[in-house]
Amino acid sequence: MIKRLSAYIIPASLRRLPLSAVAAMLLVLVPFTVGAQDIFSEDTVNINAVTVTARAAARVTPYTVVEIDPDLISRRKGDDMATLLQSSSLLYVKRYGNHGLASVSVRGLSGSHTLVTWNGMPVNAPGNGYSDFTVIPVVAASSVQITSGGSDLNDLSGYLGGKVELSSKPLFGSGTEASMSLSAGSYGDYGSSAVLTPGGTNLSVRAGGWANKSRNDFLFINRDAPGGEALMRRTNAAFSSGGFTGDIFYRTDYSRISMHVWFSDTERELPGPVTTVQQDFNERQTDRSFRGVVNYSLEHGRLTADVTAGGQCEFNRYYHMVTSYNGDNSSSSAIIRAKVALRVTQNTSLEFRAGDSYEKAVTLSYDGAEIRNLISFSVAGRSNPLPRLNLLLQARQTAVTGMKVSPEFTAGASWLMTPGGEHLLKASLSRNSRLPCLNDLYWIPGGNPDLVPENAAGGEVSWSFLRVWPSGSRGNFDLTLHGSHVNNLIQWVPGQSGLWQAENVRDVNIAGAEARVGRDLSIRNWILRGVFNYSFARSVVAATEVANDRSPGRQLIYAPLHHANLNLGATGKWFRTGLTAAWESRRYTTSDNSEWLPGSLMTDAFAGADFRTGAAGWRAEIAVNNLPGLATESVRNYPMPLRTFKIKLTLTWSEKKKKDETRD
Amino acid sequence: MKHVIKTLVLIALALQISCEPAENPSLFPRGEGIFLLNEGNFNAGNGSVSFYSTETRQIYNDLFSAENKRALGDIPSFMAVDGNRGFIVVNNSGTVEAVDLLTMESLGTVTGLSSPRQMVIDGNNGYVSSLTEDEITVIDLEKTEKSGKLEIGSASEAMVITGGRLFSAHWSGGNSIVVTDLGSGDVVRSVTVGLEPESMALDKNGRLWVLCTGGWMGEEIPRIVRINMVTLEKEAEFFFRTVDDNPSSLTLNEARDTLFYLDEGVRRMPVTADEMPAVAFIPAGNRLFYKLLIGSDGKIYVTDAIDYQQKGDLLIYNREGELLDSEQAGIIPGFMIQRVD
Repeated sequence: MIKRLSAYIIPASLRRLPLSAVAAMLLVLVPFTVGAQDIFSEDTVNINAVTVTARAAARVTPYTVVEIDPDLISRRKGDDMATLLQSSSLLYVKRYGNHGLASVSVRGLSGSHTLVTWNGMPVNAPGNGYSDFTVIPVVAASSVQITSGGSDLNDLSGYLGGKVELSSKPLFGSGTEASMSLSAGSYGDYGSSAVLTPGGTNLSVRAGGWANKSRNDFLFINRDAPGGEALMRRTNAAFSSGGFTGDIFYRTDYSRISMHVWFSDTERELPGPVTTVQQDFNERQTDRSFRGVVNYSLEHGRLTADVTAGGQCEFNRYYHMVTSYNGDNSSSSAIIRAKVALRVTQNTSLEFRAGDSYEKAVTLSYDGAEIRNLISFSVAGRSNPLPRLNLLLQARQTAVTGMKVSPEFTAGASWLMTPGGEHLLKASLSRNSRLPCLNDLYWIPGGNPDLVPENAAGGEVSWSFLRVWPSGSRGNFDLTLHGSHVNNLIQWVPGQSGLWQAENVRDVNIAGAEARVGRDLSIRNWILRGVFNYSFARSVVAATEVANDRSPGRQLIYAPLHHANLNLGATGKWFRTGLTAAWESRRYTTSDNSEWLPGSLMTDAFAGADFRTGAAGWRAEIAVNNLPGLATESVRNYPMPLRTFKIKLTLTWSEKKKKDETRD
Repeated sequence: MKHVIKTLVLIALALQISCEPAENPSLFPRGEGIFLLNEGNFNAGNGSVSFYSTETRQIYNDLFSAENKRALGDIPSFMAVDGNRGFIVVNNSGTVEAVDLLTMESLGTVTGLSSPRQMVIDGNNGYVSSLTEDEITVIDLEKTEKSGKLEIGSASEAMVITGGRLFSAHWSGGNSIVVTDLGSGDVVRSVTVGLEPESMALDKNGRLWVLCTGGWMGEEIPRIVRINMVTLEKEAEFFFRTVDDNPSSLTLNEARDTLFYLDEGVRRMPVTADEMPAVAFIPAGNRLFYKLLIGSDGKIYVTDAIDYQQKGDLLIYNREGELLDSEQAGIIPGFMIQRVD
């Protein structure tokens, strides 16, 4: 039996660590949250007002919306988005080794069930429906917001699993700021990035660029080597990436316009799997993409309106030592969407959304270019019939080339249980769908034009506690229970010929729980911050059309039952340090759950010092990734590095700081 | 004091006796049976070896990893047998594992092969075909190492050795049988057959039967071609119905007078037949038949890979086509070979 039991990889003492960590965190954090007494800050209570903070708006949304802590984004600025999400969200990151292809999934479904948007435009590849989070650097977005489940019908089409929204936020009135970072790490890892944010009261500009390069020939342990366990060096795994983003925001009294561009160019070698021997077929891949978005929003009296238009093109080349295996893929898409919201009464508003999406993909495995056009219309009613009660009712209808899509609905409510808003209950029910991607429909061989959309029906219930102390420190605890049933799940299964083909073959039941605990504390000159996330997602096959299938009742492959992460940080006057631990339970690799990857624990730590002289400042950091040096895999036979180190220097210049100092 | 010492000595002796290792029990019984290679998932490195004992009517799984405490590798696709030694071709690991067929203990590993597919044995030499290279690798069976190459000008799959000549099928994208003289190492002939010759069998009359799939994209109607081994010419062709047919796994019975192959089930056809059977002898029904073996006792062994992502089944039928037994094997149960006592 080639089961990779956790005992086989992780020493017994370390296997107990995740549970100990969970218990310790709950003991430390929960008493703070339930025992503290203070008032609730006004800006987060005032939910009926026009100006609601993004965090407060997300909290009262009837389904789960979470914004990644900006401090964690700042801490991970030299990393890719996959690393950030793995360590600070409840998304599961499936990664083909260090710098390998990485997809993220939510609540037990696959990466193709996660919609990824950048400033409102979907960036999933039209061909396979995935987004590769390795080629998205953290520096490309200043805000990351995650919606769990498929209840949000604000986009043009559904996704069932969840949504990751990457966006750039304006910094009006912050003055000009600039920063430049240089880093060097283990195995020839070098990185650089620069961000310039000139801006005034009504104009905000953000221009950023990055260049990263890594030899990536890290050490790993091959336990299946023909001669017995061996320490080996990864080959053919080099990675390089470069790109830039640009954002311009301009506002008037009633409106705002913004323009965004993003260019990315990545080249990486693709190391083969380690299957007794390390394979090397000289595979490599290049990904080049260009994206642009324009957004105009208007808010006047009872009316708000928003129009977003954007386009992207992507080029993907794949090279193999056998040239006949080479791949040449390209895709492009364009969207235009508009929203009009009218406050009908003081407590009720109506929202109308409409949009069109055009997708085109070309690969050597299509019979020419494949094109899909999608038109979508949705209407939503929002109401506060009672001061602390929010109701939402939304419906969406999509029309798409060559396919029928059923109407989608979401109904939800959130209720601030206490006048201060500390306790919140919310619930939602939804029926939503996801379209097959173009590869599912048209790939030769195996693409199936007769596929129907996947459908999900389900709901969630949440209790949220949030307290803000006069000192500004915060504590929160959120608990969510969710459940859904997915029909017509699309999977690639073999036919009589042995060739794989896409079919609507299985139904899936998903049930789970999520918990989030956070606490900020100020003690003398120190700010202490702790965030703990945990999710349980049972995602099992409920019905199947595969003959003699033993998967019913079994967990979907690469969908961990448990996922938890912990972020601890301490910031002093000039010193900062932090620790991140992300744990995933076993991930099954076969549909009958007869084989699995053991649970994995990734623990990273960093320490840094900040110094400032007038407008200029610099920060020095050292980071250790995989602190215990454990052998881990996210995808079978694609190992991650043992312990690695990285040092980073950041130079900053701030016009505001200069003015403050002059004033002093 | 003496009693105490005596007692301690006795206890120590008793412990010594009780701690003596028992003889390592065999993982699987000796006697007749079927070795079955489970390919495992592509790139997952979870290929395995099973043994189905025709005497106990039980299957014994994961033999290689249990015996050697390590994985066999990625996609074990074929096993050649030389006495009590087996040579397992592990396609996507690029290795050939030599094993003791009584214990499944590894006797050595040949590494660095380029997508090896199948192996035939002639004397102390093993000949390994390749999906990606235009040559056949020669292995010294005693030393378990590469000893040479045969340049054949095309990739290769199934092979047959007869009369000092090696017949190799140019399967992936090819349409020929390449004939190589093993004495000189020279290619003496290339016989054009149908597109993608997948499997071959030599009948009792010395004629070579070749099953051609017609291409994985359904480029042409599949066919079975009979080659006269004296003239090295095609002497008969039997065409399937349409380009959508997907036949595979051509083999012969023990007497080498009846062909068996997979085509919507198991079909059989005497080597003297003038036309192909119209219906399957054992219909696949909702099963996904993957590989086929005819035992020396006439029993028919078929594997069902289900969804290719879970453990599959080994199905055993009698010569009348009645299901006798069904056993759960490993993931993607594929190639089978019989061990005769």
